[in-house]
Amino acid sequence: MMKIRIDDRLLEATEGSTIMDVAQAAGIDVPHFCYHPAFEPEGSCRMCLVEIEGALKLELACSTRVKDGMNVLTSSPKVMKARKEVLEFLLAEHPLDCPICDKAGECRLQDCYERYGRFDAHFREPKEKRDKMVSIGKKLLLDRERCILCTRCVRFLREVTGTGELGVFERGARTEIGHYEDRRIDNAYSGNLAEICPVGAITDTDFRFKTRVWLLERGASICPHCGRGCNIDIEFRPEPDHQDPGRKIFRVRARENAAVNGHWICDIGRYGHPYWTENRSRFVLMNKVAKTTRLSWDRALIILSEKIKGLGLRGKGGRLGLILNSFLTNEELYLIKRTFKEAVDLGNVWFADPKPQEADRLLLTAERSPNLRGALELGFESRPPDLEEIAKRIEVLLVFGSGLQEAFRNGEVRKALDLVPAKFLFAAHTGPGDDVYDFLLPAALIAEKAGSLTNTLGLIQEFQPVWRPPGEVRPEWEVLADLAREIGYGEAWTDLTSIREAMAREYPFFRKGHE
Amino acid sequence: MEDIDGIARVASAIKGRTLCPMGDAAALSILALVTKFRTEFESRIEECEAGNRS
Repeated sequence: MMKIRIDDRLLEATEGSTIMDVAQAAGIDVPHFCYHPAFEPEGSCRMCLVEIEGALKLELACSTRVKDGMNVLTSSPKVMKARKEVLEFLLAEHPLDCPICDKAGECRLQDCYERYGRFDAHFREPKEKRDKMVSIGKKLLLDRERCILCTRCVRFLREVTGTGELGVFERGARTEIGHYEDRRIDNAYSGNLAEICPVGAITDTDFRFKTRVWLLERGASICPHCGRGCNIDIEFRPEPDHQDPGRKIFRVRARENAAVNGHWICDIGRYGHPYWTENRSRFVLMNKVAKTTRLSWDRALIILSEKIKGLGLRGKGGRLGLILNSFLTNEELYLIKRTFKEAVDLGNVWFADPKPQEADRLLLTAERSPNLRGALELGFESRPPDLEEIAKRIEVLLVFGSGLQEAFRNGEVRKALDLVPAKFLFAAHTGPGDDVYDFLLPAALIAEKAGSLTNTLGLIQEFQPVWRPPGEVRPEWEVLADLAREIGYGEAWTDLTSIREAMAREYPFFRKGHE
Repeated sequence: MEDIDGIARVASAIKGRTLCPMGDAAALSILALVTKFRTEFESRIEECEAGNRS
């Protein structure tokens, strides 16, 4: 440990850390473009120049290691003048196309000019003309006029994905970013490039020209597409619509969490955003002889509880079947376990999850659901549904999610379920096989409810709803709590806290701190 | 005349702030020229302007 002084604040620093590290940890803003906490410092943008007492010239905060007793000034007149002049050079060749640039509003260059630039233009020469639309990957476009050559993209592809598709070509005024020969960017993490580009040089065709960033609202959530549980921000625009207080999702971005995903998310999570809004089931529906009618939640729950109670106390578990999935939260799985204890004990519980796929060495896990670990910790076995068994024994079947339709051919599911007298589907999305069920109950997605998920590493992550669920959608845990009360199950669950407490009492695993 | 100031301004903005020492090498020599030989530049500019006018 050593002590250094930054802007008259005495700060502790560890050996080998840089001035930038110490300043950022203390909340002192040193403007920068090329510096990124995930990479080795590059020192190419010259924006983070700071004054060090006793040094002959200004030094870079991002690459200068701290020394004991160092006295650093980050906003002395000398530093401010240098920032202004560095910005003038960076902007000498930067086009003024902010009005049509996707980055406008969250552009580091724009922000820095507002704060530290504000100079009168001295350059009378016309700006260089360069390629403005180079396709460098699946969904990525490079604008070489906007590029300030910070090389964050090059370093990301070398240090994080290890694929190294991009490089710096030519020298001096002709320097440009480009891909090697025909190796365009084609890796599962390419979307991060548009996110780390400090200006609008790399844009994402998925987002390009769709909206302006200042119109977006942002909510923190957890990515549901694999067992990693990457922390994400979902950005959407609340568009008032009397049919649906719905929204349109414009993008999903990585939310930093060093313990889970660092600064990144994969393209499956990033571009999988239609999952949140498309093909949603919104209303409680009843299918009866080729006719679909709407009914209220109360009515549906009464019917459901009557059916369950109708099985009689004895052997009730034997004829009640549950097809779950590991998209359900820890709390929901726990409620199911408690409410349908007999069915669970008799092994009438199956899991219909997406098929495991190949894991990569970065974030993506083999399982493609967010809470398999939680289900296992709660003592569930992840058995795939046995359609024959279900057709033979089950009289009341509760299916959660659309996984059953995805795991089997529609005809197989239909054949088996036709033999089950009462079938209830709790699903967030509609699907082609929905008409086989007697009742369709719209379920919430992770962005629409509160709860917690356990990722592959055993980390329990809590989350809060990002927006109000569409239509009549209700979070499953609320419905399950109502159902437990309706079928006369002893305890009254009213909120997540009491469910969590009970869960932690029963399963020590859930006793550890929540993230 | 204002070009001389412009050159001095750009050169001193480069001096000591670049990643590559080429920046210093270029800026220092130019800066030395326009500060130490400023009168020569000025008289040459005046000569030309006078020449143009006549």
